[in-house]
Amino acid sequence: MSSFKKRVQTSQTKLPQGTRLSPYNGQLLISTGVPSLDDILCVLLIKEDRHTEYAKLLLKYFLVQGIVSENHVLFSTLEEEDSKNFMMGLPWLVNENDDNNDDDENITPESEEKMIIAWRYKGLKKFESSVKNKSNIQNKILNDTIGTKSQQNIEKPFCSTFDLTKSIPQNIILENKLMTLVNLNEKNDEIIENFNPYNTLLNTIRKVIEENHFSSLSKPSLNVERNVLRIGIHSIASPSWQSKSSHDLFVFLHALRGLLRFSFGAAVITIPAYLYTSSSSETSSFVRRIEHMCDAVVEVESFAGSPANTNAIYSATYHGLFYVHKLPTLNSLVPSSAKLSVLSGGGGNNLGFKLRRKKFTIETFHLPPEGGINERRVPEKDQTNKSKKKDDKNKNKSGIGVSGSGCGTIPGRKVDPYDF
Amino acid sequence: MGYASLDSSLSFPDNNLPPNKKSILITDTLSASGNFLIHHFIVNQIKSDKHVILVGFSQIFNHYLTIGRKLGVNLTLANQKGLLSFIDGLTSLYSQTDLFSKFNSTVTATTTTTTNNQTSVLTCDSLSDSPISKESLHNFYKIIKQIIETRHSSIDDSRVCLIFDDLSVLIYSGFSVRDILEFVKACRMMIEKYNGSLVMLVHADEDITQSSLDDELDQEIFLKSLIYQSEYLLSVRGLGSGFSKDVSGEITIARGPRNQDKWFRPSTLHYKILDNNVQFFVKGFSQGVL
Repeated sequence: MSSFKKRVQTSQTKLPQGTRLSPYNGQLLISTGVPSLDDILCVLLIKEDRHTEYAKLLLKYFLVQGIVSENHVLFSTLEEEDSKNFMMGLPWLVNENDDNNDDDENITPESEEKMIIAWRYKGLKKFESSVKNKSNIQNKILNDTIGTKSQQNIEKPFCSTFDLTKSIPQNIILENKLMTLVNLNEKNDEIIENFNPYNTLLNTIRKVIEENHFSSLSKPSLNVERNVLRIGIHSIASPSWQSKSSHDLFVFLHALRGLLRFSFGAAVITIPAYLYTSSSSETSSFVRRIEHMCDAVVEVESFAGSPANTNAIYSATYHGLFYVHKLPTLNSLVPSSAKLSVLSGGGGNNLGFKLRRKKFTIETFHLPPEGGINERRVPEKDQTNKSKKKDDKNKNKSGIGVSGSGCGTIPGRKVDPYDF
Repeated sequence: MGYASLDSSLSFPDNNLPPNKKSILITDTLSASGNFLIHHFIVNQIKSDKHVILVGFSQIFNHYLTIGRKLGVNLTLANQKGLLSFIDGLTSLYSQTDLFSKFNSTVTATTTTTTNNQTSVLTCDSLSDSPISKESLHNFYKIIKQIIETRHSSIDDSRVCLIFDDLSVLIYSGFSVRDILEFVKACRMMIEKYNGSLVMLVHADEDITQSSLDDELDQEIFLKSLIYQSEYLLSVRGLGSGFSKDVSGEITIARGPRNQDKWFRPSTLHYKILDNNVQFFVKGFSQGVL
């Protein structure tokens, strides 16, 4: 990847499928499948959530984005008997004919007319709490002929939109030659001494890199186009991964980092970090060491299972919090995603995620207005209505994601000329 | 020079180079990485035309090259002139990661010549069957010694600077604490012999108070031993009150236990990392805040 940067300046090399150059420093970016997360080619660690499977969902997005972009995909896990089952469960592309009527995306035009008092805010943009996916849907690309050489070399969008209710067509999994599923289960009834799943996995990855010319050290033949390798590992270091010492995982990650630095590839690894905490919510030293070995670390914390959070007002809108612990600072002092990400506002914003019926989004986390939207501000004189108020509070049908007229400073808002 | 504000705070005499025969320990955390300080020392050495040996365990040469370019030094040129020697610990430490043997038809046994990627590599022969062993560290030391001896025929005033980017990698990977400390001590003695200085980066944010496992105890012993042997301590942490856009973190410049310098002033500063510079300022005086 490092040497690739120099070659780009001679405009003869074509970028691998599914990547684009970062506008800030020319580094190669790869899409994770979720519009709000764009990744430099590096190792991303996702700390899993307890009781729920949101981290698994992020990994699925990453892998299916790779399949759609025709990148080579390598996947391994010890959580399931057959890695194929995991792949069968991947979501698939949105069909352009489907109505995009998702829950609260129906931004009714009436809300704009209601601004009688706050009429000054009418002309301002809507409060963008999430990143809109600007990429075109696959089918529309067929009509676009700019920059395409032939019918087959159609420029795929950088980040495709996926529909969680649709699962991936079977034939894509079965016939896909660009996929490697690594089976780390020991053979039945054989207990191999010194079996180290990390070593096996590492050797497999090395082989794949060599065979498919992902390494930036080797020059590919003229006809072969460069491709990108996406590595996905689910629940590394879970109890199913038996290894002799705790250092095996570090060595694996260190070696993986070294391999990926000189290859066109990115890895997304999920780890059940909550299994290793010694005391409440403190990162154990084991996990801390792993975090140091990885380029980027994010954490998914869901509200499910913790009573304080499930009863809170915001649990209706968000399903959990999304933390960014470490940003990749490859080849620069400042993490490049700090500039690119509108969402995080340079790291200052809290992020939450929500799982809608059809997609998974990450948004800036902001508390709903005090008391909910339906509650009356002025208490009624009639005493019998007090119970009614309480009902409204519990229902809390807040269209919070659609809050158009922002008054005052809302965290995460980029442009507000009325702030002073 | 490196970061101007840091130079004035450290106030090293003699052209901002680290003082003779002294060692500097940089500690950092996950939220505040100490990587930027490494670049500061590299830049200072190169600009003063002094030799730098950079051992990169966690980053490849290209990383330092790109950042060096933004800070005003050309590391490729420095490598060719012999001012910079880079040892790639990320890909070459173990045979599992050794890519060079497959792709380079000429496996270089020397360590200062430039290969395709302008890095120096350890040869395959130097790695034993169990890569995590004392022998690997011993071989590592031999390579460093070879570099210094070939480059500096005269001992006086070589002012060579040996920089370890991320010694924590060694202890995380399973080398025993005793072996690593011996290795560091051997390097330090050699550096003292050649009138140079030693810069080490270690991660110091583990929760070691509640641990009784051998691993954590090792980390504690390792860290404390290094602190006792260093003259200058630069501790980098995130802000205690959370994240801020204007201040990236806090750095404490402290005196090591063996330090007797009269001119040295310990201080705690805030810093902000920009794209091509790092600004250091007294607490509360950042431009974003004023």
